[in-house]
Amino acid sequence: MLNLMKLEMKRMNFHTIAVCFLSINAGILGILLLLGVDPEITAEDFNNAEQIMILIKTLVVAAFVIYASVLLSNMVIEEFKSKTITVLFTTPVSRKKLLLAKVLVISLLTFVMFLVSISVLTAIFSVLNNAFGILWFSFPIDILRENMMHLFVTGIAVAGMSLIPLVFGMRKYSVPATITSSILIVSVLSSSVNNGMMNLFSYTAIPIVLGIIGFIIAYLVINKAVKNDF
Amino acid sequence: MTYAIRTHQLTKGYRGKEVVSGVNMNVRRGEIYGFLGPNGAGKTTIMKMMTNLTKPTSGEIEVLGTRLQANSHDILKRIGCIIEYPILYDKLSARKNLEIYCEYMGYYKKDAIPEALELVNLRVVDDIPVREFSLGMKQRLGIARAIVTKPELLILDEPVNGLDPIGMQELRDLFYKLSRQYGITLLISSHILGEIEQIADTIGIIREGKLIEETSMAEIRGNNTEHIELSVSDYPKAAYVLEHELQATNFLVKEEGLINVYDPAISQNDIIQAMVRNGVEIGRINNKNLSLESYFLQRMEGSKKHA
Repeated sequence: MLNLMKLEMKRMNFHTIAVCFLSINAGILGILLLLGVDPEITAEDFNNAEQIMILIKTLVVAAFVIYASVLLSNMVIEEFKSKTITVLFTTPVSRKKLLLAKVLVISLLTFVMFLVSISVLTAIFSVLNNAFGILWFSFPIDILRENMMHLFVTGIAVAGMSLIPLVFGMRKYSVPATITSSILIVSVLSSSVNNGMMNLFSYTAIPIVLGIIGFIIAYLVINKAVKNDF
Repeated sequence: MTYAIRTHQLTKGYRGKEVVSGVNMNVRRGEIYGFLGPNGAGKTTIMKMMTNLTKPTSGEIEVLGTRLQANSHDILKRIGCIIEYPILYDKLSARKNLEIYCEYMGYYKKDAIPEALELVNLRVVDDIPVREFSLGMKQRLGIARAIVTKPELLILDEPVNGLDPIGMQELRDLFYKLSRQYGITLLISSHILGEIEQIADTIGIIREGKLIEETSMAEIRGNNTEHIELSVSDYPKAAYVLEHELQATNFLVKEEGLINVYDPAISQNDIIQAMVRNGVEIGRINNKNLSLESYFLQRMEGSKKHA
């Protein structure tokens, strides 16, 4: 299993992934910097560091759940669509393990990218805020340490949740369905209530439940896919 | 164990319609088995079942001494195959395609890849993606992939499709070499008979999902197809001579002056001597081998009538 995961990682184009990862982070940082454009409007919605943390988390989750769906499309859906998966199915590898390896690699990568992004963005924004006073209140880097456990758990939840699009994508081996469904999931999760103070992510339980559902769905979809005739 | 593949009452149905029914195939070790049938006869489905890509509705398959189960996959290490058409990673180079396959096969011999490319005579520039290949090149790459891990059994579905006549001959030679030098068993399907006639040891003919015949080529050549064609001016007399002097029972007077003698006991020489003795002038005489094609067509016609 571990070998299969290594093999999948070897097949990934890390150069492209790195470029995407950096662009996504640059984009989110850009959005954060916009907070400094008009302090008055910003003040209507954001009054303390905790809210900024929620904003960063929401953006990062949204970005990487969608990015995970792109990876799912490339590594799973496309292989079924172009039938190259049948080549792999004629090798002495268990079909189930083969697909689980692909999905786990994507989960793992999403988890890592989530944690790294959130840490780096918080750190950079904290430093910039100190230096240039983007917000009228302070955004100390310590907030990262305070939230560490919570972020770790959310990371695992995101890793599972990012697999939910599989169920839509694998129906007709459709890349658009995979990516669209991920965007829908993200929109529902990030839609805010209570004047932007809360979204579904504010409760830890919801992402965790979705994360568990994601892992279960992935397993069930794979279980069904391996029984198909090709 | 003398069989590479045996199937027993192999049946596959899609939505209540049987596309393969009750097929009992026997592919002996080391032989080249030509699998013939028109398009849509069920060749690909059977080959898919042999590689476990598709599960049979009923019946059994034994490959290299192992009975295939729904989740058998270890046995695939010893099999190379092309099913339907060579499915390749379009965006990757030829070499990369082979590398990925070898990794999943757990085959790490270093020079295996250049060797395989050499064997199929595919000269590739490293960074050209496969999607820019011609159909013939893709076909060659598919074959290279099937043989790169030196399998014991090769299952090739229409492997010479899309190749020019020279390419076909080259690959036929390669298949023959793989069989005779490396002892690999080959199951090759085709709908064009001439393609395998020259190299097959055994042929199986399939029609509408049923295996209607499985015979060795030697037998077909020997028993069914040979006759002597004789062209004479005085054919009533020639027929009389054949019947009374040579005791021929199985001959046919076709058009005026053309006689086919199917009796294996009578040689060309016997006929010439008898005709000369009786003063029948022979215009032309020769041995005719019915090509596999005519034989095949005959069989197809026959089975149609019975059906």
